[in-house]
Amino acid sequence: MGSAFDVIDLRRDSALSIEGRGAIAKNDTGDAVFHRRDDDDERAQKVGSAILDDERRLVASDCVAKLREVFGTLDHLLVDARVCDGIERLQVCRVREDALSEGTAVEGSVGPEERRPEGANDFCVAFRPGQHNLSCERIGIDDGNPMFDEARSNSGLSATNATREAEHSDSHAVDPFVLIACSMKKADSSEGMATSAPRKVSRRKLLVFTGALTAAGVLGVVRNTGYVGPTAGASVVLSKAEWHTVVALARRIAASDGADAPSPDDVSVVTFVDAYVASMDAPVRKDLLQFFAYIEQIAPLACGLFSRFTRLSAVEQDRVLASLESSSSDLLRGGFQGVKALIFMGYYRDPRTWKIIGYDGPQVGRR
Amino acid sequence: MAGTITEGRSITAAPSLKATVVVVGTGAGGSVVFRELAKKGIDVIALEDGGNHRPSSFTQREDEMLPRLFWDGGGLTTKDMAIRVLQGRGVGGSTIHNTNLCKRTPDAILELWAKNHALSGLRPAELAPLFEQIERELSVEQIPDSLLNRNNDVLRRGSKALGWRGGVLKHNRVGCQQSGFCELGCAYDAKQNAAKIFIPQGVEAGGRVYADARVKRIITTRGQVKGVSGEFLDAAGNEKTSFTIEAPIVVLAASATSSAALAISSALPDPHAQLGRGLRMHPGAVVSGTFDEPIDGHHGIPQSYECTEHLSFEEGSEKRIWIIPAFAHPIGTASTLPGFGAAHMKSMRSYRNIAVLTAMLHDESSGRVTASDSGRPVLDYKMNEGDRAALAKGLVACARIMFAAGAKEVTIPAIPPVTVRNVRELDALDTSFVKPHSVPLSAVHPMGTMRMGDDPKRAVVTSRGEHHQLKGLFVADGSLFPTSIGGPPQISIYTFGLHVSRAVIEAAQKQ
Repeated sequence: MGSAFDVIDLRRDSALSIEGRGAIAKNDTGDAVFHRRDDDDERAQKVGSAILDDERRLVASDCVAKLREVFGTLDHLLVDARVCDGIERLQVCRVREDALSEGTAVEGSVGPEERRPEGANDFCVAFRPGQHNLSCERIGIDDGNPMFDEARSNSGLSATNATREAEHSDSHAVDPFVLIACSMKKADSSEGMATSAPRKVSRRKLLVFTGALTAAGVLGVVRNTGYVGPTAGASVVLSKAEWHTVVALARRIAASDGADAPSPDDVSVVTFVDAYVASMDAPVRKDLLQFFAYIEQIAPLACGLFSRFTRLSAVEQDRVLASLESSSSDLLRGGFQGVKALIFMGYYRDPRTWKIIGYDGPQVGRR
Repeated sequence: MAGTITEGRSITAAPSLKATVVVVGTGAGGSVVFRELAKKGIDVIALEDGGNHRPSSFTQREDEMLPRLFWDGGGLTTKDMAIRVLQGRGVGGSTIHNTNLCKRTPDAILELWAKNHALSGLRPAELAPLFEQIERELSVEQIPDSLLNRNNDVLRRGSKALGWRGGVLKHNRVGCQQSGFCELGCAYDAKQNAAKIFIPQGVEAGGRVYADARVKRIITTRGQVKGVSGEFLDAAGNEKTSFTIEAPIVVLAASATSSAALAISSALPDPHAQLGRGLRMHPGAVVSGTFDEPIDGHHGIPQSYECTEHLSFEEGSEKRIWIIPAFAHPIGTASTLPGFGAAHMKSMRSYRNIAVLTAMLHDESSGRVTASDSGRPVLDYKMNEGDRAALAKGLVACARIMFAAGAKEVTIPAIPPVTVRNVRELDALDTSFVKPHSVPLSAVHPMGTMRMGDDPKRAVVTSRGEHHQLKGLFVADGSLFPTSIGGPPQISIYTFGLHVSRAVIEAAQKQ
């Protein structure tokens, strides 16, 4: 039922180490199962001493170099066990030696919480029947096996169906060294919710959730069209909707109390925010952009306002912002503080704003 | 032969590197270890995630310097976003942006560590020569009274009027121009810090430094360190070129957040589940007072006076608040003042007349550092009830000092803001509002995530900084501290770096 190959865990807790050997196949419920293989020692050595050390652990540099030969740009995946944006989230099967037995679903192989990839679904949950579709695909080191030519031609990361996956497994009978990457897609979230223990919602998950709601236009009362500008090429990273959201936020958060103060538009707060967001680390940037989307599409609803933020009156916008600032949700309050700090950085960076508060600015070069 | 400082951004092909010791991080702890090893003729490489900043490039502009000198541009927060955590990046680490406060680890804390945390060889008398050496090398001196700016003078006057304990601090500056831009890097190179003192000495002695070098993994085999691997970064901070350095000894000195995250990412042995636990960070909140006369807190030495009336290092003490001035430039001030819009701008118009004090907590709450999938530190920290109550008392104490110094109005920038106009209103204040997210909190002193101690069940490393389970791994930063130290940590970290360097030298000389 499946053929043998080595399994590498890409997760950080035992990253780049060989955890066990087995064969992958599908059982009757469609779950992936692993099967022990006993005659693998010699096969493992074929990988080469340059890769395996005395404990059969992988030396990182060698592994990355070798994998780069095969997959070129994918080495970040192997180093970080994470997947860049735009590619389906990957998780890597980890198999404990003692968990490998005929027909036994891989379960309980998830390490302590801190060792799981951020944002990844619980791997053991993913394998529970009926909760997720699981598709697996190998990423491997090419030792001349023609199978990898096909893998390369398929870009190596696209999901494969169960049948094909099983076929691949079979055809890998002589592969000495294979990394298993599994892309997980929730199939039946309601069942999953019903059978899973209650779990704390992380900041990222909340933002992802709200972002997903936003993207889907779930409530139908919000609209995603009608944004004008910025002109082509003016924005580095912000979409039109995000650009307008930031403009509206800046006008309220840095609203003037007198005619002597430049407006946020005068000092191009949005241009600064756009460039600043572009320089952020990807995970932080993603969170922030999702929070902009939350403010634009969802936050008004919480105040009983059925237009998106950018179409509200100034008074209504202030109401939405005040509700965020004093929200009972830690995440919303924290998110608002972050946005506020960013807007004020864009505003008070400009010497024209220094005048109104009596700040004399940098002294470098004056002395 | 002198060594080199190489910027990773200029590297186009991965070099093949070997060394006897790799030091990860070039802040207070790492820089001392680097210098000590290089002076002994040991082949040492120091790696720094941030750039190699030159004082001449420090523009004194918040919008330009915050992204360069701080993790996440100063926007790093705890996981629940309740506490903003300011940590430095660049050759010199947080000693680039700190305000040069110099205090030794309190004797009471050292005694407590010896008694409760199985530390040996680290009693006050044993560490005194090391403290003295560090202070001498960093030109630590008492700040002259005449150099207290008006914001610090508010604290001095208020404390004295109340009869509260306090005093002028020591600092490590030579040639200070009193520009007030310490937290944005000293453009005048007056800070006697890691980047100016220890790193150049180490390079002169033959050590090699790589800036823009992000270590992503510690390579190990059979309980022995084998080296590190990582990525050189381009000028924008993007990973661009992989590197691996073979070395039988690695010293983690990348801060209590990054060192622990790297150890977790590298799956280092942790049989007693101690790694990353015990995070302390001295969270603090500010109080602003409005005065009739200009304070101009942004001019002069930012922090030169302390009030220690509410700070005791005795075990179980409820007095755990250190009060110091905390003035900021416009962006920092705007971010801290409550509210937004026209009302906020009205507050900002009082910028020159505002004094700001911070109540910094000698915290007992214990948090935890974990690692994200990319290896970034994730800070899980929640204040317990005792700390919350102590902080509330501290904020009230700050307000009392303000009034004693003549403030006409005092504001605690909570949500909603709390403003009191006299001591009577302050006495009647219900401080139950003091909790995370209701009061903006910030922290600049993470510590305690790879604690030292001779009991491997309760500590990650020995009293000499060597990992209990993994041969060849040492720790030399604030991660070592078993508890909060209740004050500015730079002198402590430099000194413990010097202490750990001795064990590292012994290990290296056996190679």
